[in-house]
Amino acid sequence: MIISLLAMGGYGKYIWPAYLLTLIVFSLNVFLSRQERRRIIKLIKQFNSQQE
Amino acid sequence: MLLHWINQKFLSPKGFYTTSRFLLPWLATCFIACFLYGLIDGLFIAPADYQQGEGFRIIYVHVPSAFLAMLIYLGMAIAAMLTLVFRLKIAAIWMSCSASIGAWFTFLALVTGSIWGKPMWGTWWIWDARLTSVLILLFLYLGFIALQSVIANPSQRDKAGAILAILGVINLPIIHYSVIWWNTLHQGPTISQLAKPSIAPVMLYPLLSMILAFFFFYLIILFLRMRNQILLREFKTQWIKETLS
Repeated sequence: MIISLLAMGGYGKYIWPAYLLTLIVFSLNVFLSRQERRRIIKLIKQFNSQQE
Repeated sequence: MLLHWINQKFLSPKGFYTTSRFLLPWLATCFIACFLYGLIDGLFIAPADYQQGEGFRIIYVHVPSAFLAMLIYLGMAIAAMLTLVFRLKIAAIWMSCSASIGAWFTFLALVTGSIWGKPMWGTWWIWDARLTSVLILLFLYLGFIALQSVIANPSQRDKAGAILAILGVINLPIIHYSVIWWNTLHQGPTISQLAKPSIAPVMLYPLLSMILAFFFFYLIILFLRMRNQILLREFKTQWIKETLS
């Protein structure tokens, strides 16, 4: 059953990479946004500590 | 009264920062629900297509990506108008944060389309009107990002970006009508606003669910990026200092 699911009637080698790529792009967007936030907060805290 | 409420909750950077924090968990819940339904129904429950067999299932990631790629650019053009006419700070932030997300969706539409094209058309790529106009959309997004990255002054950066976003909107009707105006290898529209959908309801519902899921995902990433930009632009204000302390 799993083999026929993966094979997807012979189109598995096209379908699964398309879905995998979508998941990678989605995960990358979440990761980059969170990383950007951490970087900005670090910069602001550095700036504020220099001001004090 | 209503305008004051909208301004307080969404249009001022401080209001948006607070409101978006409240909205993000709700958007994430809507995204997960729509994505799971669309994914499970689209991959395992919807029947195989009578012509394309199981291969048609790429539609559930390709069409939502392509739809969002165009919708995001349209949103950017509206934000550009608001930036130029009303000098709304939040619209400029919306415009600049949308560009990279739009570029990712366009990239996804092109690559998943190419993967779908190989078994159906026998080729990964062809200089067909639809594919070429979507590639131009990707270049427009990349051009916008490049333009914004080379201008240091925020108000000049917003103005230049807004002009490019408005000029590029001409490409959207070309993409949409390319399959009608020209003889293309790409199939015609699956869902049209005026005509009955050419797709069976059992295949249509997961598609609509995936389109909604992709839209919620766009809003989530947009809000996260906008919150980052608000922090960066307003970091000298007292409310940011209080928020971060």
